[in-house]
Amino acid sequence: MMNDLVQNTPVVLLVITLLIYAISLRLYQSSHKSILLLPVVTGITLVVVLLTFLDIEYTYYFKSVEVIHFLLGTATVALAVPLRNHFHLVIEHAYPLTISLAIMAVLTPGLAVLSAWFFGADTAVLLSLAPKSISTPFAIGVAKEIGGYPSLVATIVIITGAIVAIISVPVFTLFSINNPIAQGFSMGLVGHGIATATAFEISIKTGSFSALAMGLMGLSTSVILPYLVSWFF
Amino acid sequence: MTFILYIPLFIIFQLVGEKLKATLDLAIPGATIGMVLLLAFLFIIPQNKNITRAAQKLLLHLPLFFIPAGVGVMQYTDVLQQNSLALFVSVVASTILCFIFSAWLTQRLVRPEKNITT
Repeated sequence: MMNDLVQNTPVVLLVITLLIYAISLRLYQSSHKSILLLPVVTGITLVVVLLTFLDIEYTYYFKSVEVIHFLLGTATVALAVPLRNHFHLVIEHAYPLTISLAIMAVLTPGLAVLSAWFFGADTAVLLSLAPKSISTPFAIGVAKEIGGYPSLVATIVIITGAIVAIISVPVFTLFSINNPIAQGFSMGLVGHGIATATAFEISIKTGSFSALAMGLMGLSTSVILPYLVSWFF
Repeated sequence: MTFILYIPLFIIFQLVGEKLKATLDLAIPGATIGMVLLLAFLFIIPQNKNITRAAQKLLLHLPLFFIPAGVGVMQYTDVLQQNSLALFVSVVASTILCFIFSAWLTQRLVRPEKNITT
């Protein structure tokens, strides 16, 4: 019966998705922001379980909630605003940040693709791994361009961000990374938006540099990667 | 609540980006083009609190916007199983290595400059 209702009125899926998101946010907050309950991860898991249980196809689900997906692009555009607001910091530290960005923009996708290739991944999987350190809206756009699986990319990107968020503080302690610029910038470079949320919990300065790195990394990778891939594959 | 009126501004830049991508046949994602255009636009106009608030509100709910694409992973269970080792190494091990390296590198690069300026 639930299945019939959902199949005939797609808006129900939209409402369900919003409800699941609200629940996921609530769980995250009531767990004192436990990194294991990141709203993205909980939300996606709950929707997948529900769709499997109700036997609803992904294509139908996606069509029903396409408006939410559209807003991902809108949010990408909105990233220009924090980038504009922190622009003076970019100029101030232009030299070290540019070098760091340039090296990581090559190294991060390079190492991800090489290691997966070494362990025998398919070409489409390799292409889905290339944009793993850039914010999901960029990464999905890039994946569509270069021929990876957009949805697989989304999952890979989310897991990558969550790993960086989890290991950030232990890594900083272990390797005595105490400069907030270095902390934030590296978090944003490798762990994009999800790590940026954690960076803001460390300090405002750390968070700002993480947001900045995320924007720059997303921008540079999504401009370079499609051309780079067309030469290699 | 005036900040809500600024969200359509982002949508306009998004649509312009998509349109440009299609007409010029660019390989860059449309939203990225929109973002660059908005960035340029923000340098022309005076700083605006409502635009900043609108962006903050929108970016706050980024996790929600990931859900439709992320759920698509359910289509790839066989791909995930076939490539599980490669994916694990690439996503977990290479992420940890890259992160440690980038933190170390950035700290080394930022520090000497600090010593010169102070």
